[in-house]
Amino acid sequence: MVLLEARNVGYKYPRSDDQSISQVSLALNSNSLNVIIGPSGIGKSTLLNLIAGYAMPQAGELLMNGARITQASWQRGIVFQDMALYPWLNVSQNITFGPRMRKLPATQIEQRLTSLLTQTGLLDFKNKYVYELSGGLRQRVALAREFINQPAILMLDESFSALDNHIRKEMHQILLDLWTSSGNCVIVITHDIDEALFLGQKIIVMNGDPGTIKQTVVNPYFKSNFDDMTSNMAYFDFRRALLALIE
Amino acid sequence: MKKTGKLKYLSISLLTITVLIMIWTLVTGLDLLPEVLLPSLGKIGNTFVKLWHFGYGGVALYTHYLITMQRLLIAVLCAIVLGIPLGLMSGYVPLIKAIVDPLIQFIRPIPPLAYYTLLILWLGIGETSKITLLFLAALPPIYIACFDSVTRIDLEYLQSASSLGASRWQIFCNIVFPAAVPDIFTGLRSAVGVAYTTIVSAEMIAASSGIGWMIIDSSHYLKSDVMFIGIILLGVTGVLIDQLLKRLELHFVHWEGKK
Repeated sequence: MVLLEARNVGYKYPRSDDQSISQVSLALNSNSLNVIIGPSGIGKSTLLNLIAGYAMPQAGELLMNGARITQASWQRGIVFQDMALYPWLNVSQNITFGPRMRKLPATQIEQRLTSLLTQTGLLDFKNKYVYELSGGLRQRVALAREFINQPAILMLDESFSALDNHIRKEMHQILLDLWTSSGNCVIVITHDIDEALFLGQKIIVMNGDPGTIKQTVVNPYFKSNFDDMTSNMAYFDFRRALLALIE
Repeated sequence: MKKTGKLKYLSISLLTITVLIMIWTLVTGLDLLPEVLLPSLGKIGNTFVKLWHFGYGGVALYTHYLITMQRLLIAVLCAIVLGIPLGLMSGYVPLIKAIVDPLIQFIRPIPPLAYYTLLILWLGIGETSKITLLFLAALPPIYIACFDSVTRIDLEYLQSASSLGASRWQIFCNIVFPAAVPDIFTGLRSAVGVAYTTIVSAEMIAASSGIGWMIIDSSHYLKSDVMFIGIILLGVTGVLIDQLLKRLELHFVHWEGKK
């Protein structure tokens, strides 16, 4: 069932050099992992901002469950590249921020917190302040903060790009595990082809000026690690074709 | 700052003060300057003991001191109570900015002494006019620090909070306010500084107590030793207040610079 639909969406930032988008159309289902890939500055983050409800499309429309998106909502969570964790709160307080603001019952919050701290390996750090954590652990906090809220759509805006390769792979696995148990619609923005191939059931290629969706590709190599595919020629052909689309 | 760095810094500061005291002792010991311009440290010490026992102008020295500090404390507290919410709300709600900001921007550049006589006419010669003067001096720095902190707040903090389900009011209380605390402390230190420099002016006119008044009154009789006691008391207290605020800031704003 289509959860999120964009119909010919267009947007240009007023008095800004930020990339605009035009004629963007897509349809995403719940319980799906989607990757939007494209060169830097093509308008991928602009599209996420529109889906999040931080800005309204100047052309076309964005619908969630058939209703037009008009403002930000906990139903559409977002993890920024800089994570935007609150340094004055500790790990548990950061993670439970959303449910506390939504006034969910304390027992429910506690249950979800314990489960997520275990899943993300943050149990030992729950009382630490976020500035005391490494980049990888902070990313786990940022993911847990979103998953605890159980949004219908979760967006990750180049969230793993600043991490080193080893930690990035760890984060990919944590994201996959969390997504499997939550079943929400995840949209990952990246410019890393291998990240896209590993995380995307569906890979959406953006390109052009103004940015638009060039092609949507169903990924037969979803959850396949680049390192494990070195002898698979079909994988490399697919990867090469995808790269050509991006460039 | 590391411990060795701190020790080095402290040693240099102590050395500066020691050199200053030595020059002072030398100048007064050799009578290079008349006593009325620069009394000796011994004379200042003796006068302090006398003032402590007999007071000045019929009022005990500690009473002068407490009166001054009370005026300062009440004025700064009022400026905090009004300035923090007003500054934060002005930065957050454009309508409140439109109402409040022009008034604060108007008051801000005016030297407090310029409107002091008006305050006396309106509020009388008692405590109210003095405290109001200090309050008006302390309000703009706190207001502006709070206002600026809201305008500089990381947009992603606000966006992520709204995407996590926080209402506008919840964002104000849970994001805007804590994010502004470091700037609030900066504003508070400036406010105390400005109020402090205004205290002598506040006690200059129509007063008969307070350290500021003691300095002004003793200057009429060229009692420079009394003036120095008042100045040293104000200076040392000022440094101590600033140190206290710095320590409070370190305690409450443990995350500053560690985003």
